[in-house]
Amino acid sequence: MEYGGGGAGPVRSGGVERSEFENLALEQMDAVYRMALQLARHPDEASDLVQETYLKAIRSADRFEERGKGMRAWLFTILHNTFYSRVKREGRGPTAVPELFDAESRERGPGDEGRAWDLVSIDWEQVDGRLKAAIGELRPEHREVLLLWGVEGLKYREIGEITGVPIGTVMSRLHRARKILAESLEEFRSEVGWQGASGAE
Amino acid sequence: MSRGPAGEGETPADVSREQLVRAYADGEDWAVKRIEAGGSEPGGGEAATGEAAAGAVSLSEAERSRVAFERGLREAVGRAMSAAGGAEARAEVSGGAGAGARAGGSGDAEPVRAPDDLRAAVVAAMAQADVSGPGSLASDATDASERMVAGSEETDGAGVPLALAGSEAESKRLAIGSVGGVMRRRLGSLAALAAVLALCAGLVFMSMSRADGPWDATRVQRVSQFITAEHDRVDDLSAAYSSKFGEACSVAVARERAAAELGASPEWFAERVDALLGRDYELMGASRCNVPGGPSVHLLFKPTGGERSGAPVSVFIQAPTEAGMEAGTCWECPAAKAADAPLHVWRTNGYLIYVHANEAESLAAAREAFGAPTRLRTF
Repeated sequence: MEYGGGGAGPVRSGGVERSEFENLALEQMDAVYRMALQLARHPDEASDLVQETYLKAIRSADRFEERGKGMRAWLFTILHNTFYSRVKREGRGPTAVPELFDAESRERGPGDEGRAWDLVSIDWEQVDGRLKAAIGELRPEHREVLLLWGVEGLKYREIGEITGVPIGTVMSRLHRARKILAESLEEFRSEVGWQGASGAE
Repeated sequence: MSRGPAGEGETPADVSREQLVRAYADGEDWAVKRIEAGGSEPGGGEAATGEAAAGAVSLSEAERSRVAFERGLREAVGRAMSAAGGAEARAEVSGGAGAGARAGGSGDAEPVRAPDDLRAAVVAAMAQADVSGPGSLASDATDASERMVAGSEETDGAGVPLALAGSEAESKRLAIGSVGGVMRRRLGSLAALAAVLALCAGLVFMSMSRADGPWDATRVQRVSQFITAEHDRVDDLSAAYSSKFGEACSVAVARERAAAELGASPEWFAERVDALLGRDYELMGASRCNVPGGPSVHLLFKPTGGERSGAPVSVFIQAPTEAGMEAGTCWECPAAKAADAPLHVWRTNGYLIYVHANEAESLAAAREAFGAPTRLRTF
């Protein structure tokens, strides 16, 4: 794409050409929308969030430094900040996310968390619907971390950079989210009469 | 926080065995190193109390089950959260208007993708920024109160990171359908549009002070950006065109689609389409479209290549609305004149008709065929 430079060479945004910046940003729109949807829980609000995120990205384009692979994380960070700023401004929820790390750092034994993990023969596709419902019940900060971990496949450090919290807090939120999902699967097991590894048919 | 034993990224200073096992299941380098160093023999669980701080750890059978479970859970979460029918279905349950339209099934649902109208709006904003220069959009609500709520990342007032260390994001396992090729074509065709939008922004601002148009400046800008971007997205008949329109269609098919989108096909529909075809244009397709303001149908015409060599022209027909626009006047977006890429809109029998082309000749042909009022005013 050669526009934008006129006859004076390509416009640059930070470390990359402007056109390249735009292509990189647009290629991430599905992922950004997906995260916005998980945070906002409504398509219209998600679209608003994405628009605001991209507007901020565009006007801050000269601040973006590619460093090889950072566009998606950069957009996620802007989206995260935009969402929580809205929450704060609109008084829709807590402005400070309760940090669970301290309280959870003294973890209980594995047996206290239920035995969902014992379901070695679990048919995961069978539980997708139950998982979706349980995910929908999570707090936004837990859903966000879960998405970055489960869908985007990010490392703890990367999730921490996007959400602006220490790795320990990332682990804590992730643990809390997974625990809730595991408990939901436990309930599901009870309902359908599933057998665990120790009691497999 | 402290550096991991191998110096690769930060690791929690004092992880429990539980955390270590989960981190191992998640493929965290520092945990993998410690557990792989401990060998694969089962039975190390009991003896390993305190090993978290000491170094190598081996996994018990129960912990191996746990690792398998965590990995399965991660895969399942990935499926559940990336598929349509997740958040959207929840939104529908909670009463979100329109949410159900995009909600899919459960297991085999398509991945969630950004809506086309959102993509078009962002592309238009980028085009505007390209001609206005960096920071040109900075005035649109950089609220001083908009600070980062939680986090250590340094940000500016709008929550944009001042710098972000290299992420591994783009190399991860999620397979997102690349839109780069389509976007490149789309953005390439926006060169003219960029100039249009830049001037449009300024003139729309001026028109706000006149306040004698039928619509406010916000609506004019939204409609203008949407229509020009949508036209430029498909007028090169590339992949975006195929995705939206499929292929060229007959007047009868176009009329059926218009009826489906607008509730009923306008009586004059076939006659006016035929009138443009009679001016050496070919109907390249008819498709539903979400022009701001209400349900719409998008018709795309291109010159047949005979005596006419003009550009493709788009005609958008919007269902009857209370849009505050009286019949008898055609309104032009202020950007149109200077950039030679006009957008005209007028009301006929309650319907709104928008016509846009990247050159004046095609616009004139469509205006004439669709019966635009001769009285022309600028928003």
